[in-house]
Amino acid sequence: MKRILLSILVAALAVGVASSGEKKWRIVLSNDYAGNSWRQSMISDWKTAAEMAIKAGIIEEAPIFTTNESSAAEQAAQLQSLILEGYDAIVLNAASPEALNSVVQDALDAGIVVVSFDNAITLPTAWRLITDFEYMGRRQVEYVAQRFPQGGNILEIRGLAGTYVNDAIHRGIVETLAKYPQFKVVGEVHGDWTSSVAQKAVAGILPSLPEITAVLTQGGDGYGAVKAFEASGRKIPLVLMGNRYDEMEIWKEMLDKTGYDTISLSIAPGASTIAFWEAIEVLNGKDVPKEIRLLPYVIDTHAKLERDLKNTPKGGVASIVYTQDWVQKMIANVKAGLPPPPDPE
Amino acid sequence: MVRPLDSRKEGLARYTETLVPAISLLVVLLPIVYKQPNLISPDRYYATLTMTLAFGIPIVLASLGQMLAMSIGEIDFAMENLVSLVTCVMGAVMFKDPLLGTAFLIGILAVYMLIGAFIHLKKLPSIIITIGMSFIWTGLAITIQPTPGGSMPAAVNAAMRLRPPWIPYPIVLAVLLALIGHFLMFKTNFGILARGVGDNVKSIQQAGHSAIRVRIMVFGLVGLFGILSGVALGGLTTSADPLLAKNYTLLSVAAVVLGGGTFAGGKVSAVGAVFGALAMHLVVHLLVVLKISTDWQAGVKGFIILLALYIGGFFKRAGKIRYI
Repeated sequence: MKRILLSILVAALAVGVASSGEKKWRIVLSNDYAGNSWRQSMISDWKTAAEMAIKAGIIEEAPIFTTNESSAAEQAAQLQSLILEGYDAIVLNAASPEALNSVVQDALDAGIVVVSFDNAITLPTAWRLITDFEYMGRRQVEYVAQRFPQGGNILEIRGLAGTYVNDAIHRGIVETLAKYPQFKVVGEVHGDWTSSVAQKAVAGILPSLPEITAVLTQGGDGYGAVKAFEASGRKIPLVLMGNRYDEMEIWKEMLDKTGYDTISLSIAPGASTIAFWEAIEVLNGKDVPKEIRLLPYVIDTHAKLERDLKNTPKGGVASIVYTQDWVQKMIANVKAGLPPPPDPE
Repeated sequence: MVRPLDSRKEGLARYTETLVPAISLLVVLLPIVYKQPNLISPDRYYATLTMTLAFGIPIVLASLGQMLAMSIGEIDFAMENLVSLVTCVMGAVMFKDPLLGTAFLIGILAVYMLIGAFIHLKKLPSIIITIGMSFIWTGLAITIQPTPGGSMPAAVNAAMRLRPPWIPYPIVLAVLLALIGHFLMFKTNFGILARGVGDNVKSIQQAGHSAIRVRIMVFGLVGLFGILSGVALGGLTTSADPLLAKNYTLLSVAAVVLGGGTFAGGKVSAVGAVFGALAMHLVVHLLVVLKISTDWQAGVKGFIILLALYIGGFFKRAGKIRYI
């Protein structure tokens, strides 16, 4: 008798699992801004992942909604509308780290999964993918120290003053440089993550600088730095790149001509696809840590450079569309305290 | 083409005409209700309407402020900066030191009244002065709250989360504000003088009234409604952010025009501005329920606003409505 009851129970459970497995999720991306190449790439990567998931029968739809000019008040209203529309999960690139918290809490209370990434929110009850911007600074200094163990002079190009990202990358650089006293920062300019601004700033400070061994950057500014050195007639130092097409292109050009070598690193816009698959994991009832730290995408081999140059549109940013497998492995690794798996090919 | 301010029609006809500015709102609202029938279902309407309209309230307040400025033919281009600054004052100053916070807000009011006086005395266009002010407000906001954060006073949060019986709170607030605005503009001496200054300042002065006093009072009220908008927005988001109210300047101007106001002054409608503000707010919801592709959202948004304006204007030209 017990056995019969048990088997009925097991059968019922199996049916339950099967039917819940057939449920197709509705996921939505709430995005605050679409006006630069990084965001455009983020959106097209999301669409690619969504098509994969729709084909595999995992989701029903994954539309994107973008507010005008990054308005937090408008995005809060948009989120309320998305809650009412009954989406199963909301993936969020937020206009403000704080101002959306109360609406996101409403969504969580309504049983909606919320995963925030890139410009993440601070609400600890939501799932958050936090980009490790300090690592971007750290990795650059470590690469320079490995290339030039004897040390030398460094020029640092910083991002937009008064922003969190600029501070975080700079902090990573300063903290790591403390370990390598043979290096000396002889100049610091603001390039605002923009090639033309960086070129002007570097050209302005160059005449007053001694010989430069390496130029540390924040992404988007490497091409301008090379051009400024070129124009001054000085030897082009090691310039760290930031995964933009023009930066990868000039690295490749110099590599082919003179064997010039560097690395290139930036946050991959495809982080939207990590958030996408993470939302599906949470919806499927998997235990996913609330806070996961993401590392930037580093182009550190010539094979990667060739591939990314081929796959990135002119004016775009190198990106990766992450797969469900990769995100599942990444979550398992995070839970086991291991580093994330290597980027998918 | 300027119609007399008081209608020849009396009684019921006058009140049905008053409601016609709601057409712009209906253009936006009806498709949303069609796609989300919960909004009118007897057991879900309360929660869904509360949620849908909540963030419309700070826009309504900002629009009433803008309506006052536009009633005398001026414009406040610093509205979004003021509203954001107020969230920072509430979150960073009022929370810790209510006395200092209140002093701060009174200071803002005083500056607004000075702007009114300045516009009168120096005959400067308000657009220039308020664009200048917009940088000052944002600079102040970044100084007192450099990154988004802060905490709102509990009373503000609670005030935005009242749940009256039967009627959703945002609707109660919108109706109250429309009535207050209407009373202010059409039932008080101040309102008559303000519209007079916008329409024909010479005649007001010849009748022995002080135009500078009117301008100072109008700009004081613009500041007051801006402050209330910031308090409401801060209470809803429970946070202070120097860029929180982006787009509010243009939203509020559009709301006033949707509601029947003009840039020339003299002709405004408080009821219309409230309807217009809710319409502007609901466009965000309409984009979601229509599932417009992300590449087209900004364009479609503009198209919806123009459509609402055109349909409203069509009825107005046909002489079917009279804005009050």
